[in-house]
Amino acid sequence: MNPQELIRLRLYVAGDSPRAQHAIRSLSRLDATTLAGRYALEVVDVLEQPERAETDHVLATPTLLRVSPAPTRRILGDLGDLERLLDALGAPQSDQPVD
Amino acid sequence: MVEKPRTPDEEPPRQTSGIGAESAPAPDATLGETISLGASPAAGGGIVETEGNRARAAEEALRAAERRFKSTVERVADGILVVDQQGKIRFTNPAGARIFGRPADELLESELGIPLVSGETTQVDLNTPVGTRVAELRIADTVWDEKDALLLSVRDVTDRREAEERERTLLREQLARMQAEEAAERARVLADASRILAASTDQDTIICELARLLAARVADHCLIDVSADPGSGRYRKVVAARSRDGSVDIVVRAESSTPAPAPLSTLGRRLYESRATERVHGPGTRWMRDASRGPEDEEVWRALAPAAVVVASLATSAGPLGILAVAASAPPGALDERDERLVADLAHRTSLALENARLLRFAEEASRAKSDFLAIISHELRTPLTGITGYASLLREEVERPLTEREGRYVDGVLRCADRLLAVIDQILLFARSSSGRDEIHYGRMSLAELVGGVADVVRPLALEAGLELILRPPERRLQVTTDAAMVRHILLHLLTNAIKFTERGSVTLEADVRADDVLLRVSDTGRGIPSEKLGRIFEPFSQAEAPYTRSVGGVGIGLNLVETLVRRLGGELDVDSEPGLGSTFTVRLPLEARGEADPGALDGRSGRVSGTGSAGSPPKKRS
Repeated sequence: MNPQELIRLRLYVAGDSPRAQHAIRSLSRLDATTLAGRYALEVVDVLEQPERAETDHVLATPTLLRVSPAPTRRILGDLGDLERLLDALGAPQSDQPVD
Repeated sequence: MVEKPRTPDEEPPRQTSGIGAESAPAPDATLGETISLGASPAAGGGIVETEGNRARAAEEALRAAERRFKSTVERVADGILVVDQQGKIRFTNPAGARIFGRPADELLESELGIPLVSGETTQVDLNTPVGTRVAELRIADTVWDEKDALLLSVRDVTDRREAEERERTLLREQLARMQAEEAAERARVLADASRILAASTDQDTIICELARLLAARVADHCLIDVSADPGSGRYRKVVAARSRDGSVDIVVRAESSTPAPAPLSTLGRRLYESRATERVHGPGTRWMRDASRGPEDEEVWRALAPAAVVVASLATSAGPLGILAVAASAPPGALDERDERLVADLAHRTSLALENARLLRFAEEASRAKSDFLAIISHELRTPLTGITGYASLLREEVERPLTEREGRYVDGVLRCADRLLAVIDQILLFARSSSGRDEIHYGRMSLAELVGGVADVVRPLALEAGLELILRPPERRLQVTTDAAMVRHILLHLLTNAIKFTERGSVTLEADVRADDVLLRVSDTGRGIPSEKLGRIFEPFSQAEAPYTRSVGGVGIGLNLVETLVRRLGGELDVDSEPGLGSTFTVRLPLEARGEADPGALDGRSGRVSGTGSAGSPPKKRS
């Protein structure tokens, strides 16, 4: 993955539930990783925009969608395991850039 | 191949990155064991086993095990799903489809996402066509189509969560209600304390009542330790303790021991300087020593053995007075920061009340000193005046030689002036004595008619001299009353001379009457009257209605105050009613202690005789 490429993330949550808050808190920890400043996050509330959840076929929330780079990836859950989150996003876990 | 589902009660190993199902022994090993156990009964039975038979039997057993499994997975209430590494759903049991609210074939091949869980379980919101449901998610590694996959166990916890939420709401409401009740109780305690503080101006009463209230309503014990009079070396310690049955015992100890204990404990000094309160849980020996002025105090603290204490400083502008402490014998938490605020507030209010009590005491002492001074001075003036009167009388009686007509007039002048001066001095003396509460009442029985007649005789020449008519309306019947004749005489004399003094023309009326259980003595005039705004002040000492009056008429201005004091000491009341320009009516109402000759019928018949300025029926404007 090109380290210069911007990672576009979309987080689907349901309202202001504790699950949603937990996921948002978990994602904020990305700023302390190699992804800091390299990603753009959009948060979509499926209660407010159910049609977008339908379009993206979101079965459960919180769901994190890596919109780009392709292929899209979908991660479900509290996103609390930072190491595995970075792994699932295809981001390097150390400061060493990966090709 | 169908994986054996995990029940949520089993503890799946926390999934770690990159470890496949093969390396994790639990699921597959268990599965294998179950299959072989399921197959073993079919393998028995005493049949001679050929190679083919054995293979068939094994296949049969496998199918049976599969059926059992399938049925288990289909019937279990939890949703069981298998998700591949791309996040696609590869398998779901009917419960899974039901929980997701979608048909199984729609779910299969839909992308759920790679489940990422920080702990053993996580909760997610399911976006079902009928709304959001809350589900608990457990994840374990598995193998699907010979590839690493994830086994998801999904349980709908919406109802449970709602029940939990309801319970939490209920608890919160209960807590809020309890807190509201506590706050209301604190407000009530504060109101009751304010009443106690406002009701008394005596330090001992204040601290005892307050200690009782605090021990009964705020904590279990209350200790107030104050200096009785700053700098005097006298102390008051009040300990109020609540017993098990809720009653409060109070111990008051007055201290002026020698050698005097420290005026202020270490704690008292600290709190006075910091203007703060202190809340301590489980105070130890050291704290108790700090909070004590001497060994006796330490004993008190040890006896109370408090689990929690809140202490505040009591102080006036003159300096620290001491401390106010409440103590709870229940475990820590019995006294919280709200109790601390309450105690701080009460200590502040108590300090103000004690300061007022102190100031009042000073004022009373000063007032008594003034009265004493007046009494002494009056006495000193009286003695030489007696001499003046005596010598002038000798001259008047022409003991040495007859006086010329002019000399006689001069001597008369001296005597008149001396008499007037004597009257003024007597008034001051009487005022001084009565306001310091020193002269005694001498009760005696006498005829009311004679009493008022005698007074009228004394003032009649004065009225005539002023060109006024003096009208006397004695009681119709002979009536004996029990009272202090000298005081009544003084009251009437003063009211009459006052009326004459402030009336330019017309008449002054003295009327005695009986109403129910009271003797009514009424002095009315046709004078200039008293402006209504001055009515409230005329009974204050050294005050006359208007400054111009002071210049035009004599008197020292203590008369009405003295009259009021005397009337009150006789257990009566003094009313004044006045119309500027028309006149004033002073009504003295004295309790009728002897009513032997009073005939109620006759009294009713006399009530029509009441006359005066026409104000008899109107409510009094001033009631002393």
